[in-house]
Amino acid sequence: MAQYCSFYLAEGAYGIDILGIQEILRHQDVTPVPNAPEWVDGLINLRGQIAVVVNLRKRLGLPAAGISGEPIHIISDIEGEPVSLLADKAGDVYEFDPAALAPCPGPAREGAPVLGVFQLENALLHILDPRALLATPVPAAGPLELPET
Amino acid sequence: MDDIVREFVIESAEAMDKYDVLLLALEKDHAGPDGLANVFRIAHTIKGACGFLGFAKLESLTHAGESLLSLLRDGKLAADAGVVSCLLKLGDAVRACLRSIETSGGDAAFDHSALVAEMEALMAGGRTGTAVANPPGTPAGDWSAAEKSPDGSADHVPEAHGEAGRGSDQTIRVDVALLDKLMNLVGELVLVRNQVLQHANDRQKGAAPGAAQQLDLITSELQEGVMKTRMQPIRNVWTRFPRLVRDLAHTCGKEVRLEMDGGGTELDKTILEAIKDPLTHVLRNSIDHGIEPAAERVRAGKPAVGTIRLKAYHKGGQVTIEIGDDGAGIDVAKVAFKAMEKGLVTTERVSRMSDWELAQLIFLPGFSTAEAVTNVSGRGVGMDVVKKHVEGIGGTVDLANRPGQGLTLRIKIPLTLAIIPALIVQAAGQRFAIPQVNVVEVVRLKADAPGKGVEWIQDHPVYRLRGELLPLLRLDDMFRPTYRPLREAIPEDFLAVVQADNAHFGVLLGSVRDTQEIVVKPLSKHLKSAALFAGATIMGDGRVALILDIPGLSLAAGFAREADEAEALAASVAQPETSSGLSVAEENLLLSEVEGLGMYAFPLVSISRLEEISPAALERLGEVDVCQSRGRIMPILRLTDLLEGRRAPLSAAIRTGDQGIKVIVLARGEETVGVVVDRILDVAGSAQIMPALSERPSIRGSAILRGRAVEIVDPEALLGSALATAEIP
Repeated sequence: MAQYCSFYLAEGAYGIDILGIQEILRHQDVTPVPNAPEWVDGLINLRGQIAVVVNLRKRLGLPAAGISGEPIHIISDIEGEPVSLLADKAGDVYEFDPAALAPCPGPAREGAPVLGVFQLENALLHILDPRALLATPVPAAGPLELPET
Repeated sequence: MDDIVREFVIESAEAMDKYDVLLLALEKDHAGPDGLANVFRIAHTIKGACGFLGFAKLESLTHAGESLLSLLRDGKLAADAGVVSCLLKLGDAVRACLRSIETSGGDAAFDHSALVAEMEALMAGGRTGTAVANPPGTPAGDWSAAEKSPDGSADHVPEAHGEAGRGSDQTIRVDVALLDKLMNLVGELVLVRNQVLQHANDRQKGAAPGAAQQLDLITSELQEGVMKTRMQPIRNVWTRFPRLVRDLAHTCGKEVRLEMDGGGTELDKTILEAIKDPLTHVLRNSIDHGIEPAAERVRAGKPAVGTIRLKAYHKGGQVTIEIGDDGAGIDVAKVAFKAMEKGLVTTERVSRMSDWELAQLIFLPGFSTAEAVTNVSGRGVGMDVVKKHVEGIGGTVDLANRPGQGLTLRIKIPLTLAIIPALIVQAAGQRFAIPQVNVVEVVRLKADAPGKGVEWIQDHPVYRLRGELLPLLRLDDMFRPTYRPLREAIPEDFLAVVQADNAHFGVLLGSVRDTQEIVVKPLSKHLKSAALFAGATIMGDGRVALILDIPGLSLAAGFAREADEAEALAASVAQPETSSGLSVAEENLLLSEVEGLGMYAFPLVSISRLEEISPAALERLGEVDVCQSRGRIMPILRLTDLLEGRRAPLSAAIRTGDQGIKVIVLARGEETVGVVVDRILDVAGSAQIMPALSERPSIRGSAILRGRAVEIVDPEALLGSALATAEIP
């Protein structure tokens, strides 16, 4: 069994293996980086370390967030460096058997950021691959199928 | 391992480095009177300590060496190549022995009887006189007493140490990991200091800023001190090179002299470690591939002895290490052939490469031109590894190839020290840090002058600074997806004059805040595409600020080009900014050639830029070919057609060829025209202009340039007819 930390983006439920997550932070001052990929919001100061802020909505091709509430920074360790994944709000921690991960329907895409889904009672939990999120040459993924809520 | 033994191993290993250097100097006869005495002393010191520590084999080995050295010292034996080789072998054996002590704790497994026999043979060959005279400055007979009495040697060893390595009493060994940790702590301390300083400044009135000031002072000094502990002269790495060069040259049957310059240049210890192997490899290459055999050199009119020059210096905030030889240089044709043969590049690509690019092929993985695999090199792992190593520490490798004359490799290692002074500025709505090493001066723009003193040449902003024209750069322009200066009012009030490699330019700034010591944090590897930034730092208020990469900006804006790239290109880019309208004392001309029709010269000031367009980028619009350039549509027309007043699409040969199309871009305001020529040759100074030979509106005259008759194009007329041509459907 593995534990997954869940969070919400545009009404969809997403999850990341909890072992890769360092902490979750509220508002941070983000310094924009000109000429960076458009899904990079900028940099934040993480107690002396500098973390890249990845706007998950932009990265996953979801519509931009409205003005409702402040996003949260999910600080995860990706290949040894801290990366902040920007999400709408945090959810619960769920426990699943990794073997039960259902692959996304349709042809398999190399380097796609969504590994597969778990079934929640009233939603699907999209499990993300943090490393694929940062693989730069991959063009922004097409809009994901949103679970009905 | 025992502490004493560990100390012995480390110190002996250091002494052996010196031993090699001294011996080589001895061989060339410029060791000075103390040279031999010093070599003797090193052998003696090690021998004495061995007796004390109970390493019998090493002791007998050094004893034999010492006897041989004593013959030399007394002039009973000449220090010829054979003897020196034998003594160098002794050095190797001692090192091997030290290693075995280090790993297994003893020298029992060590066999050196052959070497001892060799030394004894040499001694017998010399005028055998076993009487040992006193070495100057060393007490007589002490060493022979030392091997018998441990007390005697214990007394004697420290004294010899002091002489062998002056200053070794004054130094202390510190674990690098500990230093790293200290360095990190100092970095954090600097950050806290900056924060405290900012607070103190904010509340200057009333509050006592004394403590903050104190903290500032202490932090600065501490930082400097810790930093210095990590700095070591590059000489420390170079000491083993004379030996290396000598041995390799012998192996290859060549004669090579090594010159070293700038050995005092200091580098961070970690960097020093990291460049050791790449440097060694480059030296190997120079000797094995670069320097020719003596006979060949003489035939080529060069001195029989080849020269390799090692040079290190600080420049532009970087340390540059040059390894130059006066050998054969790189035969680009051979390199190209090898690369194609090994399937590393396609024939088609090679045909389009400049000599400089071809020479760069040696950096490809799996490339090696050695005809045979030798002991020295030729295993196919080579320059690519060097390049990877250097790039691993954030450096660059560049080469200047002079076929037949030699090759110079330039390794540039950027300032990767964790803390640097920087200018904190506000620009493009953000705060940035500019490394102080790049900043020449800061200038306040003339608020009362029209356009604040910023003038425009061909869409490029410039500033007149003490009579010089300084190209300007606005960060707003740089941060757009494609760089193009916007001709608009200048909101900025300052400009920082900065230098990168070979260019000076101005960066327009909203305001200048402060100079500060900043802690450089590398940018995430996922942001490597942003080549405009050298890193990031955390400011006093806890926010992140980006550090501008001035060389990167310079490249992106086209101010600096690779030095070895075609000069014509560089001149044509830089020239319009420096010699337009303001001082047309003489006119520079760009020479181009149209096959079968001769040479045509364009006044350099009229040229916006040079481009090479891939045929795939061509599009047909009506009856002309166009291509997209910087967000606009640019008609592409053949010079010959334009001169005849024709509008015609490009010939099929050009359209479908696999060659890039060479285009001279002329501009009038926003409109541009690409003029196709077959070759872009050179830039020439002004010449006496004679009347045109043929009556054509677009030809202004003719001249003799580079010994050939050339027609000079009238760019205005050409542009006029081209734009008219392109617009009429």
